[in-house]
Amino acid sequence: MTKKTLLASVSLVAGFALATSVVADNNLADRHVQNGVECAQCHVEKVPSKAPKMDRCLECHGGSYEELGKASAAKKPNPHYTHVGDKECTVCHKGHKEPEFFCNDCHKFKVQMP
Amino acid sequence: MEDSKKIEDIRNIQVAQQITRRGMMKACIVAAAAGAVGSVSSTAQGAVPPTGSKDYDAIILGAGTAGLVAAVEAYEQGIKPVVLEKMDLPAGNSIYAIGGVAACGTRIQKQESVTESKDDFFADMMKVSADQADPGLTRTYVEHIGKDVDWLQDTIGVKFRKLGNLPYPLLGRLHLVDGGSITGGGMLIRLLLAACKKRNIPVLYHTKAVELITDKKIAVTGVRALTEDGLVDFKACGGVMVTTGGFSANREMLCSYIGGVMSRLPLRGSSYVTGENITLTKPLFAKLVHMDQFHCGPLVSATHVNPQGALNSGYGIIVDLRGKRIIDENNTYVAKARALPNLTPENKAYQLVDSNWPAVKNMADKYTDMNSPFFQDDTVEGLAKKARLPVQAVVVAVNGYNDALKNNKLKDLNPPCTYNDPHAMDKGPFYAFPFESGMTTTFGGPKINTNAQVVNLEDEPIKGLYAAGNAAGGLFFLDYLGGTQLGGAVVFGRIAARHIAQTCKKGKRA
Repeated sequence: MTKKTLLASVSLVAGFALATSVVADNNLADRHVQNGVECAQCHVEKVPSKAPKMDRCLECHGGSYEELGKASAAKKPNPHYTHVGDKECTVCHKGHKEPEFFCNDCHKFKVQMP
Repeated sequence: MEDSKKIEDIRNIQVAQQITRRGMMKACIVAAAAGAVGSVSSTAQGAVPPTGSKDYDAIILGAGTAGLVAAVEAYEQGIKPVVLEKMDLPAGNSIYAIGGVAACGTRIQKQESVTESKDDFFADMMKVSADQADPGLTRTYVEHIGKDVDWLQDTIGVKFRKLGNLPYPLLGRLHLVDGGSITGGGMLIRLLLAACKKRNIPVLYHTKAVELITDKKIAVTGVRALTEDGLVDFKACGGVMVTTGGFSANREMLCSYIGGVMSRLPLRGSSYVTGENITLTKPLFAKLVHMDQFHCGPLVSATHVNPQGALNSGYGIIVDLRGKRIIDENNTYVAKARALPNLTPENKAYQLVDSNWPAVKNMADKYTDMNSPFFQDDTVEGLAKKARLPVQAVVVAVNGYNDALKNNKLKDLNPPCTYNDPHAMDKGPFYAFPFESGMTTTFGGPKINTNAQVVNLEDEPIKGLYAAGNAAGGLFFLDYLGGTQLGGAVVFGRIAARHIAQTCKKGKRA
């Protein structure tokens, strides 16, 4: 909320203005459920309280971060091979809310992401 | 005219509001962070006992270039290191660096038939520091860096690009890490992490050192750290190394040690370099030096595009938000960035260039690729309108520059323009590239000796305590030669690790 307010105020200044949009039809966890994936398959806990760790995601997606990087190599920038290193998947891919592109904490890349 | 003045006033108010809001936001964040640290410290000194204790030979605080280099060197020396990193990944300034290491006497230089004198290198390092850098540390740098670059190649697997004659003083010293599609610094960290993994060196994330543990003679024997499971004491047989970087993201320290407008610059690097080099070592009476010293450079804070190319082009003029020239454009990009916050209340300016600059399209492409707004128009008037700059003032500034050039009176302008090879601004399209001044790094920290040991106020080594990289004080003052920040991290990271290894072998803390 404060971040959005900040961005809005930044965009008032010519030359330093920018805009970005990330659109999702529904949340990532909803889509997993729609594809027959149960909560416990991602969350190791019986009563989920924490975001799943990277290794859990990689079991179904790519197998390794390196492979993910290869798969998205054509994107500019490649979100899975960056100078900040291999971030936890859920830093960007939020299970129960809209995705947040970590790179755009500093940059303003136009991206669409699941 | 009246109307445009009104619009300008409104915009200035908006700019001021935006600055205030952003400043407040940051102040709140810093205050929150400071609050958190405060409570951690009081807990550390309070009644809650640590949940466990772990023994190592060398404890290294911070997984940056200095820390990871030290970890690998310690392992190679046959001792047991651990790296404690407060963040989820290496998150210091290294990953933002272009990845240059300034060196002389390297194998690469030999292969490329480049001869560099150590004495000249030493003299240049001292010169850019206005002779305020510690000569012993500077000499140690030039003596070690050649072999250290070879070591980065052989032991870490770093690949360097072909030597180029950049930056100042334009000699073949800068060894640029080949980063491929990422920054050279980002690649360097990836390779160092891989080297640690190969050797099973533990790099513990979410582990934040909150207090140095000492014996009754204030020799450092370990570190108390906050982990996800609570406080843990790590015991070090040989020593503790502070490689946490400087304090460029600690607003309170910036205000205290630097002060004024320069303490409120946007960051060019990490938001997590928050002065643990000071908070951890000061209670042990470490000698803190060069605390008001820092480096800044140009950036656009909203997109982090680097406008360096436009500022170094040798073409065009620089105007502030009032459309007036503010500085001699012949200054280096660093000097311009350093001056900007004192010249304009907004810390914002535009580099105006025309199409006589052969590389102008590359610069425009760079801004476009980063979704960073810039302006382009066939006329100066049109450009000023698009950039929402006062049209009349911009036209006066450009015409004034062109007239002075024609009459050979550029040096008489106010401020003077001292381009060695000035070019007229007469070929459309014209461009306006916005930029700000940003904080690169702070230079201040606990003073180290040539063994990378932190010294106290009496210049005696504090036993068991080491620092390297931008956490350490003494090597830099005023400015630095491009490539010596990463170079210093490698040189003193390795030296500290070797000294700790010797200590362990002797069985006595140095």
